[in-house]
Amino acid sequence: MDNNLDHFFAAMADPTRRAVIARLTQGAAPVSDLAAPHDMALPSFLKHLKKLETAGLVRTIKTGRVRMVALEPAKLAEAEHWLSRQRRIWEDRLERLDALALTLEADDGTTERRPDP
Amino acid sequence: MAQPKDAPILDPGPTDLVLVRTLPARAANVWRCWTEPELIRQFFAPAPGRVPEAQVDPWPGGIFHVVMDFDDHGRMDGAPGCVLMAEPGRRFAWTDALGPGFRPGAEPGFFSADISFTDTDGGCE
Repeated sequence: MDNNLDHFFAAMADPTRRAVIARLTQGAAPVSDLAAPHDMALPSFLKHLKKLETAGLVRTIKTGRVRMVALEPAKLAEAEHWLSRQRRIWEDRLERLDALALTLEADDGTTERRPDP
Repeated sequence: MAQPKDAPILDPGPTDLVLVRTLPARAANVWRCWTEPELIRQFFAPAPGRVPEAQVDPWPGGIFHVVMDFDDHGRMDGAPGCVLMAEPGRRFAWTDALGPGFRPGAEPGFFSADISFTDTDGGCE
């Protein structure tokens, strides 16, 4: 897996950071709004934001005295692509496993459980 | 907290894949597919890849290692993974975040698999 996606999955491995991403899918928000629902000190929350920023998932823009946070949709799309590829790999793998298990089943000669031809 | 019985992943996150399959074979045979190297070699590699080598010790702390060959990419041979749970015909879990014997992995972990088998009427899920 390339390094960018490593950052992505590390960033998304945390429930606080997932909640922030979920909130940002509804639109950009000030840091203070994002921090409000989370029961933690602001410096801790800012560390979470920093991780999301490092992973390229969000960017922050300072407008006047307010720091706004917005999603970077390209990175999310990239990860989604990666995950759907993994899903396909696993579906294909389990297809082949099914076929193999059915062969074993037939070899067992247990007629009552054998699949219909 | 009570241990969940039927839900290996209670809260699938964005990096979790959950796949459920039902087939007319007994759980014991699906178990064999996951724990016998000769059988793993027949289904594990994404087509048109091949598995030249597979090693599985189906007990907690045992090795889980599958080498894959691809004509266009060459050989995929990661560090050996570690079996986490092995209940014959019921549940099999392993990860590449640990090496055999639960030793912290030499490479950062990428993946854990948790496979449950349940016999159903005329097959298993």
